Amino acid sequence: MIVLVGTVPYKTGLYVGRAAIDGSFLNVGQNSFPIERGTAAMAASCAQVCSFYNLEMPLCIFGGDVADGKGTDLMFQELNSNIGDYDPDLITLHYMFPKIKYGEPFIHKIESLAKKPQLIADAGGMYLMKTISKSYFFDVFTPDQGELYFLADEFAPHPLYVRSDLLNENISVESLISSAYKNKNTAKTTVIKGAVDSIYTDSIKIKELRQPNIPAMEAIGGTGDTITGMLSALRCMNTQGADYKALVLNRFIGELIKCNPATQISEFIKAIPKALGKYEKNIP
Amino acid sequence: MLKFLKKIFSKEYTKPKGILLYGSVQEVIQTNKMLETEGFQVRLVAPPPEVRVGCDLAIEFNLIEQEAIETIIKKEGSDPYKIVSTKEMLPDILKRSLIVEIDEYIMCKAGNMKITIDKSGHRIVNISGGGCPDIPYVAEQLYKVRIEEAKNPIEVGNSLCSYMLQISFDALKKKVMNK
Repeated sequence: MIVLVGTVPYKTGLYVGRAAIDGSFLNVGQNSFPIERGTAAMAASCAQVCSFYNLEMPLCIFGGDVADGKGTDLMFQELNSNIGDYDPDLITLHYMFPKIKYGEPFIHKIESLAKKPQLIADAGGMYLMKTISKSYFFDVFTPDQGELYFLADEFAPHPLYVRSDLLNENISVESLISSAYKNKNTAKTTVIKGAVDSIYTDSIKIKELRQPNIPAMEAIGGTGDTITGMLSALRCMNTQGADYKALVLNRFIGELIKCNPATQISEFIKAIPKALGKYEKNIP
Repeated sequence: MLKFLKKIFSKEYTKPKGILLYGSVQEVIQTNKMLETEGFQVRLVAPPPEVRVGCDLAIEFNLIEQEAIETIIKKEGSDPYKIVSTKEMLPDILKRSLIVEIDEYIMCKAGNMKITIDKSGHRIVNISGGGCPDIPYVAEQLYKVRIEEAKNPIEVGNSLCSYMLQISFDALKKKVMNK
């Protein structure tokens, strides 16, 4: 089972349930969340891929968090107490307040499971794991370019505090990724999202993707979330080259819907089944 | 006693940290105890001379937990005299914002936070980047609002990502207002 964990910016509470897509909303149990951005967009993208391949729909553990950290507390309390009951094959950590006190107990809980699930982190989940020096316990991190600087800086507690020498325009992605791996501040595989997408495993470049080049995608909030969501589903079904396929699909969707900087991410998510259909028929 | 003083004045950490400054030792001890009880990784330190406000003890915390700590000390009525934080500690990234024009839109980015408006109406059409949990909420609140009339992102959210977004917001607003 895929377990997707993150906060949603709505009423404080714990929302646990199977994901279901309903137009522009993601249903989780009795609750509906707009798929415009953040954790809901990631989970909806994952659900779309699961639905297309007739996979079991992902389980969502969401914390309603209106930027006071309470939803993050509820979410981690559930996760660190009951995650074993869900028998997870893959867990994705997404938006959240990176509260250090929950990091180590989460790792210990995972270590106590009979089988270690695949672990993916993005956004606040990734910040938390770097902060507690447990990045390498994870299988995949999905940083954007700004977050790559953060992973490369062994001392930065947040992307805001990246030191100036790393922000030098001449510094290469290879140098940044090398620093991140050297200090074990990234996961086994790092999927870098940006104008040039690239995949590194144990500091070795596996793949790179430059085309189609769609500058508008950088402006659209959530284009990284869709990659993380699709990648989670594809990895869980043991797709060969899952990470690369997620990157290819994301750009293909941008091209398919003719996106512009004002396009909303829900339009991307709605187009996932069509894009997958064409992809599987080798039409792209 | 010597051991205690050594612990306080040790330079164990080289990572940038946040520091809560108070006027009295009692306030420091009480707040430190409360934060420890709440599970935060805090420790007592000697404040840097340039920011000292009369008390030789301060509370050091991990900057990634700044928002959560600010929320709880406000709730508990333990507001410090000052928090040495974002503006004082290595914000090199904030000196760099970049404006990019894409067709009929203008995007500004600071660090990994990007905000985009349409050229004709200056309406905010997208906010991208940032892993802090308030960003989706901030984006929802600012969507389709003219940048000249929009609330400051930092008034809507309260995370470090919101702070970075504020930098790109300010740069973009300045650009359109000066036209």
